[in-house]
Amino acid sequence: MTGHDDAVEPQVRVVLDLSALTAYARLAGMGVAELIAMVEEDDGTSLVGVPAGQFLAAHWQLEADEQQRLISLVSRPESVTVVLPLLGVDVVDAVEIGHGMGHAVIEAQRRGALLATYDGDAARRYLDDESVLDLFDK
Amino acid sequence: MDGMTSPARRVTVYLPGHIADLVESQGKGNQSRYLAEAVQILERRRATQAMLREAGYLVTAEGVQRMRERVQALEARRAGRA
Repeated sequence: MTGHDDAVEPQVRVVLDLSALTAYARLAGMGVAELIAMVEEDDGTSLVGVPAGQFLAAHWQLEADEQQRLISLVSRPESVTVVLPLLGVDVVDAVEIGHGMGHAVIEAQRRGALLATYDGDAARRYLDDESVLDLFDK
Repeated sequence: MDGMTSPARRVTVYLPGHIADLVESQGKGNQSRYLAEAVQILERRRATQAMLREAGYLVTAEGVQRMRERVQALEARRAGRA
């Protein structure tokens, strides 16, 4: 007996854009940390997605200590945060939207997830209002 | 979540009686899955809390609840539209 057959597939509930990732890495606001804690508490399967495109863009902008905080965000496989890979022609769509949230927008659309951002006006150019979670406390 | 796909292995553990009762109450075919899920949820909590703590964040129950209400309000709007 394996007990694995009807395991619940993890679901990405929220994705983070560049502004959210850099704020988290710089300790510039509580919003992302509270969001991560909330997703962890709410159920045993939901995840917070870190789009690879925005992870790279954030890393390039950060100081060394901030980079370490960003890396730690995706380095615990048991944690609630997960890197979302950017594959194939999605790279073209992602760069057309921009390095701030291109890949994040694609993932939010594809997965039916919320996009958490400090730049809600930009996000609403690509997503419905109810798909954008504004972070305010930066 | 990788643990759900690794090969199963038989282990023997000792549990407090009331915990053992809970496990046994799941029924013969469901006990392993029940325990695996419980351990995964605990490990997920520990890993996430350690990550936030080591990053320098001390989240409050009030802050998390405010975020939950905002997220649930958005998700309710989405569900209402679907």
